[in-house]
Amino acid sequence: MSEILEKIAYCVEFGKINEQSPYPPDMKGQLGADELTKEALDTGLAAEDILKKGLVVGMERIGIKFRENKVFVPQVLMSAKAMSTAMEHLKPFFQSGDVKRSGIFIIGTVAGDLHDIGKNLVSMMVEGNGWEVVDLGTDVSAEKFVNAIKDNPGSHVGLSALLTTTMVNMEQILKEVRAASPETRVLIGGAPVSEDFKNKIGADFYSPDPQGAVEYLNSLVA
Amino acid sequence: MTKKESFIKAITFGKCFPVPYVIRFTVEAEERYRSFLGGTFDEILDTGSYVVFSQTNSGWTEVRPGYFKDYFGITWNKTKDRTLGIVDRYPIDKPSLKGFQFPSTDDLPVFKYIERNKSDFPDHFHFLSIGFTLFERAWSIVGMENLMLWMLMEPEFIHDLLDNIVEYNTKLIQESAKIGGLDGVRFGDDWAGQNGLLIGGDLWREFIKPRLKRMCDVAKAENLYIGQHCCGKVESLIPDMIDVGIDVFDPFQPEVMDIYDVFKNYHGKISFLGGLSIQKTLPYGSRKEVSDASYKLLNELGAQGGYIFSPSHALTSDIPPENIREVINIASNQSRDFQ
Repeated sequence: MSEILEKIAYCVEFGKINEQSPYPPDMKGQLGADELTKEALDTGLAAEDILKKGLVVGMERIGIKFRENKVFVPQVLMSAKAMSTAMEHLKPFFQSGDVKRSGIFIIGTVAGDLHDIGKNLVSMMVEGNGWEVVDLGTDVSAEKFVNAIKDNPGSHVGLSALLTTTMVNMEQILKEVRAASPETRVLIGGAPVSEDFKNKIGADFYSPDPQGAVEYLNSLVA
Repeated sequence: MTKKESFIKAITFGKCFPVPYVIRFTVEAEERYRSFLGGTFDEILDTGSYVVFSQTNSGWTEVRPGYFKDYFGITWNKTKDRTLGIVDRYPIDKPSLKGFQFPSTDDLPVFKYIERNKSDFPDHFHFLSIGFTLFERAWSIVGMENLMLWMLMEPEFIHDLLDNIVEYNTKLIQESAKIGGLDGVRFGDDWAGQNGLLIGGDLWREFIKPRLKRMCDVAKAENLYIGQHCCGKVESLIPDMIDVGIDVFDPFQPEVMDIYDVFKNYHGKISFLGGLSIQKTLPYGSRKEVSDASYKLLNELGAQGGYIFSPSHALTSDIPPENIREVINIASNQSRDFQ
């Protein structure tokens, strides 16, 4: 990996947004993901390489650390901020088709449930790993999921729930998604969700952490 | 021995028979259980619970159907989850307290609940329950993501915000204690998720612990026992909770910690309330499984003192009423003399 790509990955991993950002304290005054991404483009590096060999590498590292309880939600949020700031520079390349996303991931908290922290974390991590994310928000009905799949052919779906009382709604949503789009992979997650529950309702994948979802999605397009 | 005396004996590591217990319901679960019984049902009287809670999460003003304003003036959407709900709009979206008025502690609805519980349940242990105590109160004002980002980016602002919340809580505890009849204060703050701490130990010790200690000191000065509610995988903070003076920890979730190991490791230093799985055994277990899990808790933990039998959260509406009735029967008809 070139030196600047490693620097970009490092900034994302440690949540260094830009030069002005006071975080992390030991990188005060140094360039962040924002400036380094622009610099990398200016020096002629391909946007695809900046994304896949810089930004995504940083997000992958923070995802693994988060799974291992070496960092916590605030650090992941900082990484996501650094990532999204850098991505602004790459937008034109996505629009022109020079850079392609790995795929489309539709995510929402299931009907009856208004909690969104877990969903947002997964959304950030998946997006930070090169996927386009369609976030349907909270209290999402089966119909909304199905419509979103129709609008985004080839996409995969993530269902989130915080409570045992709402987790059960995943089963009905899954049934309707299967009926409308059998090829769509359905991932589930949330505090009370388990591998057993995934098997019981017949979902495709369960992960207790966001990085697991990223790895599963990446395996679908490998 | 009154229920209050038994509860105090148990949380100060005395062996008690029967083992004191607490059974609480979410709004939806209580309605379902009442309907199952086909008549009236009272959470305190009909479960035989040892504790009454005077709660700051009650007495909110309904500002439009399903939306309630709490003591801090924050509106909560309770259209889906009528017990807790979610914040409708966070009042602070920039790291500044300018324009935000912290509430006064004059004439709060909870003071009336304290008066009423003091007179209606003089023999029960009586908790002032401060929901959304500190961490949760902070995110209810600025939003969870902003709170976490600003802990790293704008730490002085978050310290200031938390200090103001502690000042409010201090007055609340002192004013409540003046009414009389209180035995304890229970703080409610979820610092963890299913897999670990939300903000990690370092930030928790920087932002939360010193302030939790201050609130504990205020409560101790009023001769109140201290309960701490925290959902999630929070085992790594138990030594800190002991350090600041927490007497009893709940909900003691078996899905996120080996509760028998934790009990053994900290027995004599902190008491535990909860332990009966609200995520697995109660909603999905058979009556036999509920019964086995309950007796195991009573026999192995209750018999030693330092343990209050309870589901690991307020009962939820997906729990079969038969399982709820089983828990109430077991708790209220303990037949073994542990002494």
